[in-house]
Amino acid sequence: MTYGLSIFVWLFWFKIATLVIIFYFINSYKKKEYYYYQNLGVSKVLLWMTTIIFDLALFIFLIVKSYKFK
Amino acid sequence: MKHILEADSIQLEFEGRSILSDIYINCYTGKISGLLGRNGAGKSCLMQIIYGSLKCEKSVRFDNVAQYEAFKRPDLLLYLPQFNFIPKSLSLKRIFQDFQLNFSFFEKRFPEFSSKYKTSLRYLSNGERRLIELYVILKARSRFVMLDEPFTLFNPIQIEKVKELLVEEKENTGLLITDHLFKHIVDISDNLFVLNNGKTYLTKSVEDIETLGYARFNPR
Repeated sequence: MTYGLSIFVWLFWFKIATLVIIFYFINSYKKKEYYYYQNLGVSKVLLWMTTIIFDLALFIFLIVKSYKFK
Repeated sequence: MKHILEADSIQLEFEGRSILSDIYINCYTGKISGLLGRNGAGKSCLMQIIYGSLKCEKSVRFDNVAQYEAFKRPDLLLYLPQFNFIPKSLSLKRIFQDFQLNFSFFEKRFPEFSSKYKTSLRYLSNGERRLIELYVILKARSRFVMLDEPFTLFNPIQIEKVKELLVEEKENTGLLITDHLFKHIVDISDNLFVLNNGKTYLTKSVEDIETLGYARFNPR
């Protein structure tokens, strides 16, 4: 069985779906802890943007690396 | 220079039931404003509305300048919610560094923490966690601080120490406090508001608290 570029498209959407699930879970499980960061001047938006950008960048970096090694 | 925090024109409803409707509350730097009210009266909601984490129709002003999302301005307002809010995984060292506070001052006031500088919160009791939370919120530089149930979880000796700390801190900060241990609130407050049926009443004497049906000072 061979895998073409389409597997990366599937992987990308799988990654997005898991991100949404993680966002939903942490948003309810850790919501009390937002006050810690807000009291330090760090907004929810900044926390999530930083996390998501780092996570996606790492994912894309690893995907590109694995594609080159195929 | 004196600063003032004011909140009014608040309309809060849950499922068609009016919770807050006729509110006026203020807080001055150099003073402690106490807020009393029965369970479910809307005290915590009112604090969350002022902080901006609960959205509704409102007017919240700092020195007459409207601030809709005060949580974005920790230099203006800090908030101690009624639950533990500092992540358990953090050590005291990290927390004091984050809030740019000197641990040795804290240690001097509360010597029982002297060996716990590198301990994470998960190894502390609920009362100890609460004390750390209260201290960092009070000592971090901000014009106003709102404290939701600051006396809960403390033993009588700790409560006296916390009251001393609050009275000391009001010189730098305006404090808005609510707690069901109302005698302590009455003791240290300069202004006392009672929240009843969605409205705030500025009390002029402790008898007003009885009249408004919140507490009895001389139980029959």
